[in-house]
Amino acid sequence: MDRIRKRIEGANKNNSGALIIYVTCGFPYKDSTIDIVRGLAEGGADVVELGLPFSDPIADGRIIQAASQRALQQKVNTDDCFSTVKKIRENKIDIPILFMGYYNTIFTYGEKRFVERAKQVGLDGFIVPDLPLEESKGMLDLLKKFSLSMPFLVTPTTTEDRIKKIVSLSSGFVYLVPRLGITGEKTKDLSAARSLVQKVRKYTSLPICIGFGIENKKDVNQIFSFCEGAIIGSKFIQFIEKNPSPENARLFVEKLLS
Amino acid sequence: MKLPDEQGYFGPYGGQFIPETLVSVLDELKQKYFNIVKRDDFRKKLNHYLKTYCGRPTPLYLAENMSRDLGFKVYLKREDLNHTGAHKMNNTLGQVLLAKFMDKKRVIAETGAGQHGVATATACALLNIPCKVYMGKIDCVRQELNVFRMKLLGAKLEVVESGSQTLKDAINETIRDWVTNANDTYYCLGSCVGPDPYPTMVRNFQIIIGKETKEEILKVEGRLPDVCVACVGGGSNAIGLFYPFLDDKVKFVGVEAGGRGEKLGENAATISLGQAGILHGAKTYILQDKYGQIIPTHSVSAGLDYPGVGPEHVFLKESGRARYEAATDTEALEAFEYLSKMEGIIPALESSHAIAYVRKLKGKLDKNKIVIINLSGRGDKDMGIVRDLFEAKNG
Ligand SMILES: Cc1ncc(COP(=O)(O)O)c(C=O)c1O
Repeated sequence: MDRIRKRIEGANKNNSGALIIYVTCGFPYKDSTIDIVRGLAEGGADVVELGLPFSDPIADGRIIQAASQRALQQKVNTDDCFSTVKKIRENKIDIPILFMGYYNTIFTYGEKRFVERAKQVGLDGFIVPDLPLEESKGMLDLLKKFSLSMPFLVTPTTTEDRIKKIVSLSSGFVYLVPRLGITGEKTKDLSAARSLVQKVRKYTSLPICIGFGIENKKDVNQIFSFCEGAIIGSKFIQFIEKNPSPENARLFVEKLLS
Repeated sequence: MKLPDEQGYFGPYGGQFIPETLVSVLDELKQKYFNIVKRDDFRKKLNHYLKTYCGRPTPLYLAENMSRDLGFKVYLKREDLNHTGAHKMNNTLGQVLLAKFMDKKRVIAETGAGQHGVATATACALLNIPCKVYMGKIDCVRQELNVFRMKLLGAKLEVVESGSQTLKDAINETIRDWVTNANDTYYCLGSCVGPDPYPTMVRNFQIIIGKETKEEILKVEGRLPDVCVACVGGGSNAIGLFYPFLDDKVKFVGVEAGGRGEKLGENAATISLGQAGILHGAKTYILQDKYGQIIPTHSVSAGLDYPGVGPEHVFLKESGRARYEAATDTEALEAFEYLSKMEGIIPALESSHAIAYVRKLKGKLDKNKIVIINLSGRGDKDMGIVRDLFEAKNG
């Protein structure tokens, strides 16, 4: 059962599209995450990406780098991130949750141990931005066994041949990056993403969600007009830093979906 | 069997752990690299610059006084005599020329000590291509003369304030630039680290060290050496010396930075004290905590101050072909002074680690044994640091 895919498809049936919010686990404070996720769920977000803090996040811009750094300074580790998800589930918050983390964190924990623990605490899947499909066999076998999802990324440099392979191995959704570069900087022109979406669409019926540099309601509405989901990270991190309350997180989502 | 394999693996180490945007960029690089280096016009041009610009071949010098002192024959491969003062130039001339042949419009590079940054800026000035160098804020302070050198050579310097503000963060930032400007930008990586094909490419540009050494030693001694010794940061000067002797009965010793001791964070002895992990696009050994967070390292020599190491060295270590030892800051400083007084050659602090190891063999080797040390660089760049340390020591 692919809870992520189901939720995104549901959001497209009942509303205009799915909203996915990224937040670094343990940011801005070690105990902020449960409140934030509760607020996001209440506001109507469809999926949460919880960032696993890493010392060397090469795919991230300044804002997420700093968030990661701050979580690490507060000694947030992989086990803390798992217990956070466990507590979220104990609080009856059932929004689908993905970990977004760099591969060294998983490799060091042990792939099998990591995936088992993820299943145990009620996680729905992973996004691993530095694990291209060529290196992902071990993870894919485990994910299948434990019925967890792993969306891979498609970017403007991905060849058509690779798109075919990537979508055939993805689950949950396909994560489409609309421009070159790292997270954070505003994506000024979403029209280029449109043709990339069409290319991907030829090879899959999975929902397609767009992330990297998505900032506001206008971006989100534009994305909803040609694919199934919008992912917001850096803008939310900036917004939530000063006041990480459930109400504030809810407000952020409600404004975007109003 | 020739390594790496098709996927860029040396045994279980190497590979490509990179964001999707870079996959096709690295595919293109790999394909073009292997085509272009075979071309006559490329080889001719590179050899021309290596000879007339860089000053190759570099001499193999029998260190008479040191040999007498230690009780066996010590030769120094004089990479310190290269233009800009280190082996780094072999690699940057090769890569920047490759960038030109690939029609790239700009070159980016990371630097720790500033040696690779200076060597890249130099090659870019020579070959007329814009150059941007990323350098950690802390390193900029430690190596301010190299900052000035790079600017003088026309490079744009980008001070990196993220993370630990040292070499590993400079690499992160260069990768981020590369992901953002993937179409027209060439990343000139400074050691045999990073995703495939970099470990292979950098090795192949540094192999000239070992090739010359082999010819030179056969000419003067009529036989191969018993041991080859080199310092290991990322491992490029070491693999360059070792590689042509791989199938010979020659022992290899790589010397890492033992820093202030064996405690995590106090050294940069990645092979001696690290574990398997993924850093900067490759599976290799790294210095990390138990959750896989990369640990800031320490060494008196900025060029060895790196929490990773080339995947091929990990393979050589695990297969038993090479040994890796560590020399501490103190031992390296003593060796720095030793070689200066003994031979009238002031070595780079990095290379001093290799000297320090060989000094420990005093009285342990037969007098006919031949040891070759790769003198990877000269010590001019280290004058400020060493003076400060000596003054502090002597009050
Ligand atoms: C003189 C010298 N030797 C050695 C090194 C270490 O690099 P590698 O291990 O790649 O040879 C450096 C790096 O800056 C250097 O400047």
